[in-house]
Amino acid sequence: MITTKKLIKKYVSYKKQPGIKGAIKSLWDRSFIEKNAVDAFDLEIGKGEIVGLLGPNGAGKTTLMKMFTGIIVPSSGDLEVLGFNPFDRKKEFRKKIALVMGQKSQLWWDIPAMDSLHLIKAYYEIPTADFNERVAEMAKILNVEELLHVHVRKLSLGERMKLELMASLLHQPEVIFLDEPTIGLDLVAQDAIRNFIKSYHEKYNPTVILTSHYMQDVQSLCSRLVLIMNGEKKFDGDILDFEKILGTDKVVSFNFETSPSDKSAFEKYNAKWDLNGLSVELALPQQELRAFSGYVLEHFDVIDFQTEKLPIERVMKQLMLRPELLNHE
Amino acid sequence: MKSVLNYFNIYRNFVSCSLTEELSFRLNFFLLLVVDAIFTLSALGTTFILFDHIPALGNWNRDQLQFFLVFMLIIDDFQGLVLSSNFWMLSTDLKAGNLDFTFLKPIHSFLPMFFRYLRPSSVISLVIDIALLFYFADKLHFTYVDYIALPFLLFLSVCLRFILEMAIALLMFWTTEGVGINFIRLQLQSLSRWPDLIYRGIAKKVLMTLLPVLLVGSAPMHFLFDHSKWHYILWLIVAVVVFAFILHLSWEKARIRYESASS
Repeated sequence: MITTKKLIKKYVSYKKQPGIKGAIKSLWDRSFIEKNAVDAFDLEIGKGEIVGLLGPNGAGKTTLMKMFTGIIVPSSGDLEVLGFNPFDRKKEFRKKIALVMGQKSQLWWDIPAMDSLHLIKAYYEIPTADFNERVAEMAKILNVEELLHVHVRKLSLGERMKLELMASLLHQPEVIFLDEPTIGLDLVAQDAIRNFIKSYHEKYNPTVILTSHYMQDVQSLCSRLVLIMNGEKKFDGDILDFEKILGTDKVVSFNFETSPSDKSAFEKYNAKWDLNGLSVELALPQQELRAFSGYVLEHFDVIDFQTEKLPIERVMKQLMLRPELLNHE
Repeated sequence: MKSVLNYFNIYRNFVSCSLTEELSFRLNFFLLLVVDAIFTLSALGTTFILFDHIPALGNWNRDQLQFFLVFMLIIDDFQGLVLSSNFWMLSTDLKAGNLDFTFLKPIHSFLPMFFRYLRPSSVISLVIDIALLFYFADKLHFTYVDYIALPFLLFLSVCLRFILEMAIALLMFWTTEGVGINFIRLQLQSLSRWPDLIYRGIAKKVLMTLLPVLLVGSAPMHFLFDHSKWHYILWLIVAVVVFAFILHLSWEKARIRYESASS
């Protein structure tokens, strides 16, 4: 469905010294910087997969998405999506894909969303009956029935994002590219978007490529992760394997009524205490989790106890702070 | 055929969206109607006063000059109605990466890129100018042949103007900033608002061939005022075809240069 081989995208920019002098000098003397935003990228994605594309800001995730959709042309390498070269921009190809960008909008700002949806109906030649049915169905699930006739500029970010999703999926694409679809949204709106994508995928089984800095998105939607750093692929595999990339220890935290007087039992588990000694975070080997947790609960005045909810978030944070950790894998 | 109908359907939706957008700001819409009407009337008034003191230019008399003027104003009106707003948006769209969704749509990108936004208020000027065109056509004793040829000639002229301006606008894919390119467009428009009769030497050759802006207005006039000069129409058609081809080639180069903007 999506195949890339040695895919490269090179960007050229130039350095400018600050101030007027720098501006004038840059007229004839520019020191150009060439950077591979995506570097020798190999990837294979099958039909119906939901793949999370993770990486820090500027890693090359959005550049990849834009190459996959044919918006920008690769500098070199091979790329095939649904059997097409995306940059040929064949009509049949463009009818089968959709891109949702959390930071860009395809809805007209100064008119109600319904007018924009009618325009999209015309773009994709969607029969009227299908259009009406899809709009009604999606609007109900996303709870935006009342918002379809409100000017887009009057909507909140969350409401707008729901309508953006509708606009992108009206033509029932086979491949959906979601570029930070929940960015800036409140928790309820994030949840609504995630649930919608999940139920849409269950119903229509499209291939979904998702980028997000919210690990909750990735955890609840993706079964496979691809990590990209400085344009290079650093990990490609199951989300459970990604969680274990830095080891299989389980991170557990305990909160105490009073600070334990003897903390020696905790030290061998890489204990991280808070300043007043009322809370500790431990990395427990999986086989010791049950026994040691029981021991702590029995011998200390524990008021709260939790295991890590988003292990991939900790892994991502560690890898972003210390990318060299990947080299030890 | 199906594809052509689909393009018309999309364009109908552009008209609907633009009109909805314009009418959302009622006061601004009425203001634009008044301003456009005043602009058209003052442009006509100024030029008519000027032409009142010029009994002839080359072998064109005052009525023929005024007919030419109104013909050019109609082309400007069509451009204002259909294209102009989009040219001013293009540079912003290029810098902000707003063409991403344009490129994704399963149609030729020119349609949403150049024809998305209309300026409905220009209709007032168009109506005034079309009425004046018929007034001067009558004064010039146009025959049935002239009246039948007129819409076709107007269509060809509008095509050439649009194609030339779009080709120039595509240079924004190289310059990114659009002020300079839009300034060039406006200057070429100004040059084309005078008959080719006033130009001489290299300037005339360039403006009739390499950048054939003078053909837009002057070619149809030469034919309408003297049917023996039919070769001007042939010239106009050739210019449309050649520059449409150049536009197509330029687009193939330009679209590769689009880098979007990082988000």
